[in-house]
Amino acid sequence: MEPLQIALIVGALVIFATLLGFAWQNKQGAVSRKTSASLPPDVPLGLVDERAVITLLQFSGPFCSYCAAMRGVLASEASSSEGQVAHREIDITDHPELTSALKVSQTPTTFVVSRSGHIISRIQGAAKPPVVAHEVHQALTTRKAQSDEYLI
Amino acid sequence: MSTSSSAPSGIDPRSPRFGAGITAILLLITITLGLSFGASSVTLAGRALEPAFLLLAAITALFAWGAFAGVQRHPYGAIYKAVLRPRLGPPAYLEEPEPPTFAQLVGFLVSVTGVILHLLGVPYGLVIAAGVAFIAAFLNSVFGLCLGCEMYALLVRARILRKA
Repeated sequence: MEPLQIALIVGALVIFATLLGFAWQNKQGAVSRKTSASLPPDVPLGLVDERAVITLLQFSGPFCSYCAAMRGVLASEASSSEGQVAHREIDITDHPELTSALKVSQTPTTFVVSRSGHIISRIQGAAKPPVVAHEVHQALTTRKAQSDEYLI
Repeated sequence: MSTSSSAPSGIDPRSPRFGAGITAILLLITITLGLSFGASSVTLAGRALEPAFLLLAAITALFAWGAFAGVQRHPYGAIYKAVLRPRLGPPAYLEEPEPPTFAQLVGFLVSVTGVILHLLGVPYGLVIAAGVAFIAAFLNSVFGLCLGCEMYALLVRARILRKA
């Protein structure tokens, strides 16, 4: 093969891998919110801390590079919340049904879950502390507004 | 609540990324050699002596070392510890050794496939396997993405894998 052809193939391979990397990086820490008013909870209530307003439910796995980093971020968020936020971590191999029901395709994946077991938002991959803090704030504000409505 | 073994014996996550960088460069050289020598030899002995094959065989052996002896005992890790670690600050967080060891196993399976395909005389078998391994090693080194680990979660979701 001609040297120019080889250089083109090798260059294309490096560019392709770089684009893949950026695509993955963009997805890291991505947040999606969904409002499910459905009656059955999305998450078994046994996995939710009923003393807290919201639970940060982290899905981890046995081969997971960033689960330890995410554990630190979520645990510090929970500890600075004066008991309003709890952090729970589960292993995907212990809960394969829930993993496929919730379409978890990456570890870590974190769900912000209400006390009733409904998912408020989903954080894909490892997220930076401000992203988590914003989601928690958002979730607590909506919970507060809803409980105020009930009072009226 | 915790994962398989949340032992305090974490590793510096930059060490496997440094190793993956060396591997990615070696794989790129393998691909260049494989393409420049064109059609592989007719005889098995001739194919086994081609430079691209010899390099991929060496890379495969290094993957096997990391996969079966554990990533903490890998020679690239020793180079990192001796040369780079003293010049860097402490790591921001520690990583469990299982994910990079699993990544070494995935790398081993891909590169050993290339070795076998080349010995069987499959055209471009070596180059394609080295290309796949390069993408994984490059992503690991530059972006810190463990492709094998991401695949593991998908396999659990598809219920192909059960409790490890």
